[in-house]
Amino acid sequence: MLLARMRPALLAFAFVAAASLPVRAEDEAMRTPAGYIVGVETPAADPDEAAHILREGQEVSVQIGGALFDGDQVVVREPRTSVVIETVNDRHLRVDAAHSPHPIKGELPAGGRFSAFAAMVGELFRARPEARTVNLIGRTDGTLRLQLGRTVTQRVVPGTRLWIAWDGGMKPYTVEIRGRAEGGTALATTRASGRSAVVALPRKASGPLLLAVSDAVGAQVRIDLLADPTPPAVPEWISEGAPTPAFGQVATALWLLDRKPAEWDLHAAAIAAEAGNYGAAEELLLRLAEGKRPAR
Amino acid sequence: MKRPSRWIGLLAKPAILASVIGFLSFFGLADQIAGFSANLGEKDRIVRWSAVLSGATRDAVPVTLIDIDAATMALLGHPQRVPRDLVAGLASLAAAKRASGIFLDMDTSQPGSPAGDQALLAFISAYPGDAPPLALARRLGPVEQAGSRDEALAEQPSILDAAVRGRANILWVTSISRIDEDRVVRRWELSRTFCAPDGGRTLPSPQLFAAAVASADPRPLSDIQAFAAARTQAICDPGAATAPASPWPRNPDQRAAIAFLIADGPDHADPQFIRRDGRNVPLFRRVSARALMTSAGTIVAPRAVADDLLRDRFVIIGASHAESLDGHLTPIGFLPGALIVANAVATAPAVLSGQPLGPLGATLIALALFGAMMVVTSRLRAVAASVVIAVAVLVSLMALGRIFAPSTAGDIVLAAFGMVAFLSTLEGLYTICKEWRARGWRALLKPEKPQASQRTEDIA
Repeated sequence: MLLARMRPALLAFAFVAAASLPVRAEDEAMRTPAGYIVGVETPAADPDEAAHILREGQEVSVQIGGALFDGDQVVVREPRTSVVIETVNDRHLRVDAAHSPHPIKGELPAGGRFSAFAAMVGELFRARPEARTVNLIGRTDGTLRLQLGRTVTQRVVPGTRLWIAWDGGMKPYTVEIRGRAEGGTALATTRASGRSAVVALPRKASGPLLLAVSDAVGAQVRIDLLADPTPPAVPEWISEGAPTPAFGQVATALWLLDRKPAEWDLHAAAIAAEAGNYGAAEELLLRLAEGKRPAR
Repeated sequence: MKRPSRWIGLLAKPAILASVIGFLSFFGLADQIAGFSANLGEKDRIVRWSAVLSGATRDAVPVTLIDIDAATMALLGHPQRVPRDLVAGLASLAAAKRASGIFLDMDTSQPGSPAGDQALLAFISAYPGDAPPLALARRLGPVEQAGSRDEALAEQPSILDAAVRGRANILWVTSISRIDEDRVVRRWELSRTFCAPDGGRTLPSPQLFAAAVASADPRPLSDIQAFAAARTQAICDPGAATAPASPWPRNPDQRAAIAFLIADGPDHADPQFIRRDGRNVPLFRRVSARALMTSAGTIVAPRAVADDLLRDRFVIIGASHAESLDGHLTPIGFLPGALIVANAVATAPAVLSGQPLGPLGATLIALALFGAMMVVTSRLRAVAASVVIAVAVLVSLMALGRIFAPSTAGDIVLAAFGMVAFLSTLEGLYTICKEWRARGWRALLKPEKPQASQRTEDIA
């Protein structure tokens, strides 16, 4: 009886609910995002198990290029997974399990031509960007040179992926790590057509080693290595104070580069290289490849 | 002799001005004011404004650039050339995500690594007939014939020629632009015709291809072929029977100014949104190829990529890394070639769908606009005249941009504006010359203010 009386109300509710569905869908289509997911790094076979976006209480798959809206949360469950986002509020940020969930805030400025014009008028009052230096020397295939870790024997940790960069020479290049003794066997070898490479130092490596970079015409440069399984203990404040893992890796690398004597430079470069697509790490590696050390 | 109060009156104005300038300099604002004046006079800035105001985003094509950037090259170990298996993988991903069209902005005239070439050949050979239309960049080189003009260009063979032949949904295009005397790219070249004894052929530009396959109202590829055939006949065999005029595009402007709306910046940098199929979509998206690669260097599965990034968007696969040596000066700064193509593609429908207008028509409209501005401003003071002209320029840009191509509207308004400035200069010179006889060198000075007439009193 009660249901019969409520039937018109229920029907009206169902009608309104059904009618509002396309409206909600249209709202979604017309919403302006706060930014986008620009990278997903995960060893998991199923990315949905490693990370997801929480949107209005529902889990949405993390996909490269996917839009992020105000109120979304980036949730990373798997410890080795990170989601790289670019939003109006966060600019470029790597979200990992330690910093999950990460709330998304803001909205991209989404104006028409008049707001674009207004922005252009605003440019008139903007100061010109600072001048930058540019190297005007023509590029040549000079002598094969290597700057990183040349001054003292480099301590390296077995089981890590070493990053090495050089200049000049003719491609293809061969990077080899072998025992320093005469006729020492090769522990790791990799070929490269560019001027940097990552080579994995086996866990079994021990004692004095040699890292050699050779080019296509037989030129070779070398670095003396010493396998050392105990790297210097990095202060806890570095890992605790770092807002992201990538930031922490660059800070660790900088701390290692500050050690005297400079026997952990190669290890520092390896740590910075592990930071992935992170501007500060790439800048640091570029400087190290050129033989420059960050000044305090 | 002037009275002291007169001297104070004369010196007060410069003293106050000097104090104001000194005050502004103290807070660092003088630089900004100087910068404002310098920025306002920048010709390319006016061109950019006119591009925005004249409706360059009308029916715009949403574009996604898959950028083989420095980060991608670093992941690949800095190879000297982009691996072609990577290019094939990226194109395959774009096709799987149902892009509206794909343009490979890569030179394939020289062989690369055997594995990479093989992968790209296999991709082209197996490209399905129902996959999104694919455009490949044809490299052009100097003509190696005696007597050929220096600027003449000829098609260079590609390693993909045999694989592409006979495929209906794969086209060769020419990715070339006009470079002005100051080495700045401002205009596109809509197509390039190569005449030969057997009749020759015309290659479209990426923007013509995109306007056909990726606009809100897509056209069949046969429209591009019809345009190319008509153009070939008009250029290579002008004496032959008149070819039927190609119905599309409405305004085949071969030298239109590119509306540079997309700058070189990250994905979150002030994007523009357009309406497409009832949705708000970003005009331009840019994704690093590295983001679409696994740590092993392979391309991610299509389901790992959001539909919004590629579906129903025109996808350009190009390179911005330094080794590509494909950077050019534009009105908005130094841009990679792929980004110049993106600007041309995005705004192509607004140009190609505009009302065509020849040089005579454009000149007449510019003259009419000039006449109207002069009539309205002839009795106004300089400041008021400047405001009226600024408003007239804005309104004209918007009005003309709705009828003609935005580039044409910009050209007309800039011409009229230039004529106003030129006539004002002539008017000033004429006044000086006229007064020179009577006043000599004092004709160069501002006319003195008329003195207040002396009071007269009636003598009773």
